[in-house]
Amino acid sequence: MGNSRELFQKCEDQFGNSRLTEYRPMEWVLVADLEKLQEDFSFLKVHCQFNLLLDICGVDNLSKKEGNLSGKRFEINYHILNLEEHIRIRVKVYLDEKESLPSITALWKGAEWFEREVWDMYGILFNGRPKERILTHHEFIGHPLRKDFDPKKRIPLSSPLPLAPHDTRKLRGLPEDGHWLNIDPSHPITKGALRVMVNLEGEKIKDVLLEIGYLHRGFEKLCEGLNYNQIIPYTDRLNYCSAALNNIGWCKAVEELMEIEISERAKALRMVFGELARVIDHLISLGTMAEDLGAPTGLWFFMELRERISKLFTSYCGGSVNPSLTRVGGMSHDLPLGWVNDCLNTVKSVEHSMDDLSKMFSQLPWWMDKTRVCPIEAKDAIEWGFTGPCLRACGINYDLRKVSPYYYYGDVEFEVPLGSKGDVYDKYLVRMEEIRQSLKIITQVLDYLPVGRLNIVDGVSLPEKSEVYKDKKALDKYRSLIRDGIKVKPGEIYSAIEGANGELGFYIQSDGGNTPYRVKVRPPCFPLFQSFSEIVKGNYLSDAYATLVSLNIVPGELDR
Amino acid sequence: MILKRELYQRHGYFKGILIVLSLQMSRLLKMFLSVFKKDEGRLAGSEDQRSSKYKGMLALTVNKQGELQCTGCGLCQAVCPSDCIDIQFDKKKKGVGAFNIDLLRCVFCGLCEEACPIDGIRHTAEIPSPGHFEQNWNIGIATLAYRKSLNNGKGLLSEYTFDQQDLNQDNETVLQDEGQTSNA
Ligand code: SF4
Ligand code: SF4
Repeated sequence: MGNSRELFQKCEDQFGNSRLTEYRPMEWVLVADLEKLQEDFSFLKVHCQFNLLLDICGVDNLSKKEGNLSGKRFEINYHILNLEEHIRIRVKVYLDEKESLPSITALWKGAEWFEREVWDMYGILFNGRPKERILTHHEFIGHPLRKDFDPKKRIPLSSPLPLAPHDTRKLRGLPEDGHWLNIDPSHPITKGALRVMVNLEGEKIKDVLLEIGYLHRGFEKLCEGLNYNQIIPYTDRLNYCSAALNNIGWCKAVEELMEIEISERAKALRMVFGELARVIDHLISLGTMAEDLGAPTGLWFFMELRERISKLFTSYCGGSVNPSLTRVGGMSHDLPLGWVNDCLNTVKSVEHSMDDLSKMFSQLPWWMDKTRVCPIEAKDAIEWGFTGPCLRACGINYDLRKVSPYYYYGDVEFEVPLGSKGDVYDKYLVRMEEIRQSLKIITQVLDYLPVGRLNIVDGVSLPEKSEVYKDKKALDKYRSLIRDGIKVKPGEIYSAIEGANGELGFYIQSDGGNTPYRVKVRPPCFPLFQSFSEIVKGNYLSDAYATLVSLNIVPGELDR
Repeated sequence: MILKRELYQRHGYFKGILIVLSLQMSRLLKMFLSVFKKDEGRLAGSEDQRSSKYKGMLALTVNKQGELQCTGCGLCQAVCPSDCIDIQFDKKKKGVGAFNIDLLRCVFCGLCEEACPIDGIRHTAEIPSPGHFEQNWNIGIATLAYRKSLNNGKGLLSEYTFDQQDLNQDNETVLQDEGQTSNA
């Protein structure tokens, strides 16, 4: 703690206390000038160890109710993390339509795609960067997240980018020699649609081109028209392998913004379901990895385990893939009778099978031959903005559940597995061990599952149905909660949880209404996939497949 | 936690084959044995393998007289995130005139079921499939409440019954208002 005060002092001396504020504990805000932006960033990175760029997020202030304080139309928020003190700083800069920002790719390699996204969504240019779309298609006109863009407008695509990459490379000024291979939008090893084009020389990869956006659904624009509870079903579709974690992340962000405390039982249940979802996500990731590396039976073994855990979700809320199980202020409903027992049994049996499975893969010569490839250095991983199992596989001990524990993660015993080289084998080992640790957490929480009512937050949770038609007051409350949704006071927040793939963050800006003014998801896959081309360059094609599955890219979350 | 060092040491090929073969064999054996074991496969909180919370095809419930339970208050319409419910309030009948759901827009989230105070709309365990409605995905009361699969066309009985203590009188006026606003 002492260190963080010192750090704050140091930053305050540099920036002056009118610009730097401690907005929330562990969340600082710095209002920067456009001219001095580059300087501020290098000070933060070099002298204050803010070295992991989490997110760049634009906001259009056009239709803000309370008026525009800065007098400028756009604001850009950079979220940067200090890995040692676990502090997130939000660097805010205001600018007009005509102005452009300095590019920070020299400081953080991972900034490239985020900057492209800002241009795509807001039309804000970064100096020295081409106008390149990323999530929308190449014939798109306008910038969808601007407030004056009509979401009902349809912009058809007359001709898709040519599928054979040798036609696209001229478009992008790429070398024309070498053999281009297209790993198409729907390849069995991907968990959705994304496109990887590789330039081969023999079997070695010379160049890689990535194309994303096939699953772009406009989640962030959609959120601006829905109230806070209605967004929950849509968060399911972000990372569809571990949907429960997205629900939890979203609700936690809204609750922190409203500054409400949920019941103990709800917290414990969220932990249980979150860990179950993490186990499922890791199982899918390991299963596809096994299948892709030539052990197709492995997929069925892992999927069989996944099926057992899915049953727990189905019996709780009726959907194993899209559960929508949280509500702002708690959970959708209480556990069915006998669920805890079922869960403990399942956990035990999965734990047992995990031992078998790890014997079946770890240390085996053919598995190690194929997976001890494409190492990633810890330094690079931070530069790219890695989080989650992929960062830990590089040997960096950073797990949000440990360093800034939310709910009861501070009270349960678990360990954070670390790899050493960051290659595919390390990622495999880390995931295997994390599954075991998650199961350990689940048993501990279920042993001490708090009792009592689940949804207790006044003015947020729905009253009991049995009361509603007997009591006029309850009926009115009930009706207004459903009709108008929850009102959230003006403010902004960046709140993150440890998702299955890394830090899953939600940035929410509210202007006091019942719908959010701006929502930005910080998808853990986005920086991971961005680094792919650099990791695999110079390696064999089969290693590229292995790396792609080990990074666990989920396009639903990548494209939003 | 540093992972165990031996995890990074390779087995020889022969040992590897032995390990994998023995594991696979024991799995196979277990599979054979499991044929004789009786597995109920029951899920917690429900009678059979299909969860009682299953979010399948939507259904409107009926009351004891076989009439529609729904009063047309419009709460489900307000809560629906994908805007797929359309209710027409019939002023003469003081009840619903038409209740349409556009199934292609529905995301099967269960919010409408949760919002309805009188158990008027429910998810069933049926899975909607393209053959069901002969390409007419915008379904009305006839399909929602009285399709063949629901008690042979009689409809699902609602769990909620109005009784004397309820704010009947009040509600009628309130609900009527609601109906008008939802029509407007
Ligand atoms: S299940 Fe969800 S999307 Fe479908 S009608 Fe009900 S509220 Fe609307
Ligand atoms: S909430 Fe229930 S009673 Fe109200 S309109 Fe919907 S189904 Fe009918």
